[in-house]
Amino acid sequence: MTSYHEFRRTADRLKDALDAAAGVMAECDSHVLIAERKVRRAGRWLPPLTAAASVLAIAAATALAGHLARNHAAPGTSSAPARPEFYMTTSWIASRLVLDVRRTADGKVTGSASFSGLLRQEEGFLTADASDRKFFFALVPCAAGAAFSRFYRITITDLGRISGTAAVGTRIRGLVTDLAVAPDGSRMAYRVGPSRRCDGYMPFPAGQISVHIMDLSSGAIHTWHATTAAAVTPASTFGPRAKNSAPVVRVRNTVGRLSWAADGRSLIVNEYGAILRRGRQYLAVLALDPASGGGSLPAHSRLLWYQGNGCGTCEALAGPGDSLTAFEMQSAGTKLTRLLVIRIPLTGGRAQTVLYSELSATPVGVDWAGIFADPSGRWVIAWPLADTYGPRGRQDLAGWISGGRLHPLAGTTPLFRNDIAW
Amino acid sequence: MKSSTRPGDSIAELFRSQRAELVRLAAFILSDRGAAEDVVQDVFVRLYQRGCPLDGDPRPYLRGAVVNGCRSLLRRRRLIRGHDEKQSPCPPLTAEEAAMLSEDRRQVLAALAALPPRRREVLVLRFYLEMSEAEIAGTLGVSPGTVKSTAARGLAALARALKEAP
Repeated sequence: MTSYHEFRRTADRLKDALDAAAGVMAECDSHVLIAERKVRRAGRWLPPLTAAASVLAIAAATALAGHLARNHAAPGTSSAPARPEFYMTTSWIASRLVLDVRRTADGKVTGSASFSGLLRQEEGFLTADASDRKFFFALVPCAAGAAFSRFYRITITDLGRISGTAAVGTRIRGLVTDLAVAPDGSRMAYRVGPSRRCDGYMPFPAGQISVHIMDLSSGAIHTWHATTAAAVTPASTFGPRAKNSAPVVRVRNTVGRLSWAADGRSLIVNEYGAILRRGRQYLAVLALDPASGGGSLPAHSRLLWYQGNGCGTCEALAGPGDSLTAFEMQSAGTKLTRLLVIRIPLTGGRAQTVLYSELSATPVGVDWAGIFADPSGRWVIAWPLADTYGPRGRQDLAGWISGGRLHPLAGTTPLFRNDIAW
Repeated sequence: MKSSTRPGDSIAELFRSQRAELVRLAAFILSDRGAAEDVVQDVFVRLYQRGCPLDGDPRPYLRGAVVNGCRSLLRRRRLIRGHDEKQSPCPPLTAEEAAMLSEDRRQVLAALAALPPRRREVLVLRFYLEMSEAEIAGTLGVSPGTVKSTAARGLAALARALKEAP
């Protein structure tokens, strides 16, 4: 008898296979060819009809084909990208970094690699390109002096087995974080934290104000700098009640999550502005033109989205098409925390949609929150809020979002949000 | 879909927006891409002949018409001797398309193609078009309970076939 678990797994595999097959099906170049084939086959497949009816059907098909040929271009083929077949998780076991390749359908580990003698990093050092067969990560070997980071690429087979590991690009002084490899795997966007000596556990690096993109073939690096600080006049100082000598508010900017648009032509940058001494933070999501070669981040970027209402924990990644996927944790009352994952269209006047929403009565540490997306932006992974705590901390697994709920991904450890990529 | 434009313009718009998905739906049910295109073409020809009298969302009608067209074709195939259309190793994909998929996915599609047509219909509507049981019941003209039991038997058969696959 088929168990419930087998039903679920079979359903997942079927949906995945159908989506993947739909994605690779080739379209006929011309609908006129379809109509011509229909006319030829009409003699074979039409049920027995009078001769007049047959002639009418064939004539109608021919007329329709002509009408369609005159009135529209190629038929739409917007098939959604298939869910990634594999994902990679990270864990630290006895000071060794373990990277596991897992099959999305059932969480089975299909390949594994481990590394020792490293500075421990908890997040932001793993990314994947659009091939669903290459993962990129950064390693920081322990050293007596300053720390240096190096990028590596793991290639996997169709069965998820690791077929190769190679260093790519050049060494970088400092600790890299918020890695985002371009969809074609040719460039790596990242931020750099301060150099640290190897002292075991490494705290999260302070926000940095520069964005770097490295060409992984040549090692060439281009850098864009955010505005370090600005003096802004709050909006409340304008208008009939404004005072003439309003205090100037100082804002310090930092740069956060990075992600690539699916076409690789823009790098989506989260820039945070902290309003000093007021404890409020705003988020500006920028689209950086990587072809600009470096310089000022604001000068070479377009503003895509702005969240100015005291964004507590929020970030945005590139979404599918012309959209963003945004994540936010909010306080909903004195004892409630709400998590929201939203799809924000940037063109076409379409409404925003809530992909996932969750309410928790248990206070949750905001540093446990966040989302990951595949290079198409379509498939999003999120961590749920914890309603209960086990003896080891949070027990909830991360999951991929579909139909308003999280589908658990095996291997995503509790306690801390470990890195994950797909 | 009421329109003040000519019926042909409405059909052209429908064709452009729905054809690809409908061909894939038919292809998954028939395991035959060429026949799937014929079935979908038939649906639009009949719609054109009737002047495109659709109100509201046309998709339920189109999907139902495609499923019925597939059933008719399968019935005719059973009657016509010598039906020997060459099947790719992973219908409804061509050999070239099949090569682009992982072995795991090919096994799943082959197992789906081996299911009885009714179970295949329900599973494709459920897992490719993500239709609800009520919507599938309306499309196929059966009760939601029948949809549920057919889907369960279909998944169980798939699970058995995939467990036995090398």
